[in-house]
Amino acid sequence: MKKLLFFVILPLLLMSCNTTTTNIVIPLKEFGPSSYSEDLLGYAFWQWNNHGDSRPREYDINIVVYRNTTLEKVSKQYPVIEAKEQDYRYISYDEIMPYLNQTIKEFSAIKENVFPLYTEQLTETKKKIVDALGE
Amino acid sequence: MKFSDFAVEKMLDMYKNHSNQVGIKVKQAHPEKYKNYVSMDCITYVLTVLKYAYEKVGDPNSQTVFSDGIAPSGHFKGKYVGMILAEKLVKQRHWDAIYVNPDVVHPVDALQEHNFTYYQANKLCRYHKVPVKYTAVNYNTTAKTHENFQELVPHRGETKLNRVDYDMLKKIKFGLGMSKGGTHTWLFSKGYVFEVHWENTAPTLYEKSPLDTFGYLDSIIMVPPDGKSFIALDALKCSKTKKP
Repeated sequence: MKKLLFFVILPLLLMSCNTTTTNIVIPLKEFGPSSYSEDLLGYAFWQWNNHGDSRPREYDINIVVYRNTTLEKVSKQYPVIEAKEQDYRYISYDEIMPYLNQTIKEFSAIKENVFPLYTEQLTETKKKIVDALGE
Repeated sequence: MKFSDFAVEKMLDMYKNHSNQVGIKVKQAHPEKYKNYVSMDCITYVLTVLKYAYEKVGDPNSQTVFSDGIAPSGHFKGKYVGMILAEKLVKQRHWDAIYVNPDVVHPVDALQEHNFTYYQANKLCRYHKVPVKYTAVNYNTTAKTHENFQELVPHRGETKLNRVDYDMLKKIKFGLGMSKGGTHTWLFSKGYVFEVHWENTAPTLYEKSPLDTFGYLDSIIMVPPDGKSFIALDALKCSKTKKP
């Protein structure tokens, strides 16, 4: 009976642990300095404007990283709504991972090591994505 | 008169005379109330001044100043973006960019991005994608009594104040400024920032303030070719080895 439980229930338990998540939402600021990320993720001000405010402020911009789903589906799930200042940008797992790997590599190579926060942040962002969407 | 003279002329005229203008955000919120007003924002101010100056000096390409800043592709395709204009001014029209930052070690808001843009300017001679030739930094350093002092870099003492380079900036007759990667665009003359606040009406629609008290920290000031002789700063080493 114990063997039966082991061979039947354990696989079921493991299956339930398998990721079914198809996206993860992460703030833009966790993708490194904007001078690095803007080509891929856009500028660090609202996407419905062509510039930002005249006084410095934070923009609550979020990046939806998706895998095993479509852009159409995630953009419906996380719509951009100007009136609510809801700014989502979408990027596939396959596009963002090379960026993260390359950027982490570049920051790690800076001899002065004056930007440990960026290196830590980018590594953490990569971990979040891998944890949610897999290797 | 040269390009910079015309630019300053228009910049000051708009700064002093704008009773028929209102911030674009105000007009969007109250279209009926302000239907007879011209809407204004930071980029419109900059573009109006540049186009006026280019036309006055008879630049045959003056009509392209606006399209120079239009994003050809990507997220802002078809929209006007300041950093695209900035890149073209430097690469195609031979303007020089000066990186400015009041404290490159202890930014008053404790955000690492200001230190990083300095690193990029100093080592790589660029600000985002804009080639940078000079820096003028540490002209308003964060006091050790400030709550954010050493928040970012704990082991470093107070940054040494450098007012010499800042005083050099006061000799520049006209410049075009961009902050935080084009988030805000402004004009510059003899140490002062001239800007538009899109959420305001007169008398606070336009503002003139000294650069050292300007709200944005890391920025670039681009100087047109006729103003280059007033830049009494040492060119960055990397600018001598890199093509613009």
